[in-house]
Amino acid sequence: MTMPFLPPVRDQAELENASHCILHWRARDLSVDGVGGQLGAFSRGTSGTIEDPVFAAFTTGAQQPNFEPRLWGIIGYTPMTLRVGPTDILNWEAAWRPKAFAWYLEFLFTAMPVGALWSISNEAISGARFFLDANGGRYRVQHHNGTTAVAATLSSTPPATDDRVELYGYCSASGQVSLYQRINGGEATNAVNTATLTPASTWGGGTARARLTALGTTSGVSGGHRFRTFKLVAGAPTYDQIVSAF
Amino acid sequence: MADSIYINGSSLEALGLRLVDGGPSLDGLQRSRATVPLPGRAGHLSSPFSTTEPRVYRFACFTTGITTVAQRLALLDYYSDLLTGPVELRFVDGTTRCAMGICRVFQGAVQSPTFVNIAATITVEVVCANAARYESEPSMLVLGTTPVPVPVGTVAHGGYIITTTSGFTPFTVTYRSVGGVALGQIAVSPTLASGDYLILDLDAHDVVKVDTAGVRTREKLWDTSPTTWFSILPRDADRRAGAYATLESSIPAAYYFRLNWEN
Repeated sequence: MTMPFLPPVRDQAELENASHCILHWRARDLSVDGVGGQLGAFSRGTSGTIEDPVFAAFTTGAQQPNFEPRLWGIIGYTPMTLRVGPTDILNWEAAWRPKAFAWYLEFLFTAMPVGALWSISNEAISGARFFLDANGGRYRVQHHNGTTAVAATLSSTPPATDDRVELYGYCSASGQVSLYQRINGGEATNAVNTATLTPASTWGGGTARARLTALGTTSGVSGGHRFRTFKLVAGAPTYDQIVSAF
Repeated sequence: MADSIYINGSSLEALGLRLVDGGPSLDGLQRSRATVPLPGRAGHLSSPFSTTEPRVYRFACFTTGITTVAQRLALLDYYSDLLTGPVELRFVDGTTRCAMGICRVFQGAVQSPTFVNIAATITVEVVCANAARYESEPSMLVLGTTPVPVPVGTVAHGGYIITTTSGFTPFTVTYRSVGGVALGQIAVSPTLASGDYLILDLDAHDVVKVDTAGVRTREKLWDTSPTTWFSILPRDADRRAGAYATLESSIPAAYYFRLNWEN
């Protein structure tokens, strides 16, 4: 076989947004889809409530995501957020294999979640999965390979109402999990890293999806959280690299 | 080193580059307006519309901290990755505003003698079809029967209006200048089931229904006379005084928009 004398094709969709992240979602796009084109699925099934910057309220439609601007004093301006109610779930197909990755979640704190803030899981919550929830009033991240699990739990002070919270962490190629918390742009505090855990070859079979505010089909936020950014980034980038990853 | 320009969220300096030339920085929009000679008149007739060319941002950087050809190649590769597809630019003198464009020029040069020097000069040109800079964070206002002032940048903006009032409820959304002059009005006669919502797209002049299953349907016929679609224009406000044009809606509605700026 000889090398063809054909030049490589140009990007057929270079006018469409692209992201180098595994998943990159921003409330400021006013869309449930990821920046890189992952189709987002939003479900609630009942009306919601949003407020504008002067707290005038509006009742949203059954499947209308609650995009709401919110003044975050700590950053000095009013970013767009997705305000989630107790039954809201936003999810994207998780068609990538378990591998070393970093994750990042930025939100305005209201209360500790009663379930998962985000997860990679199938509907039955079986097989390999990864999720962030709370335990004993502290955030906890778990990696389950379908047989056993490892978990890292923060010991630092939890956020207070209306704090800007950045949670991020890593799952290494050997399945080791770490978790960091930054409140209002302060210094990061971290949980003790877990032991290694051989990752499964696929995320939980069937309908594995990346789910914001849910583990499986169980929504996990007690209501009122306002999410701004959610990212999954391949490898082990630094905090600055995660934040600027596009 | 202070940050200067951000490309898709990464500052040039974080990439190991030092900005040495760039522009435009403070230019407004260029406007072209055709004119037609009118015999017997002292002058030409102006076209009713002007046009604005895409904005072109061009900047040059030196590489810093590079001591090997391999490092230089890795930087060029990473830079190339960043410049693939739409490129979001932000400038340190106004990081809440963005420009979105496509890279047209990506030049790299090494000063002579090239077999001795490692550091390169990289020149990038990004063409932005949307000549305005836009606010990275959109905003939302709740509309009702009382006129609500709508902030505006130095370039007009559209956006979309959402209502969820179910039933057969004709309604209007009225746009008024800061002086209260009605300059536009959207009149819609929708039929919404409980949980449905309706989008009025001010940019596409479109009416879209979203039902409780999330299915979208264009409902152009719900747009009834007398509809005059509008944009929020800076000249309808007194921005220096913080007095803006207003919107009012005969039923509750939410208005999402993003401010646009000349620079």
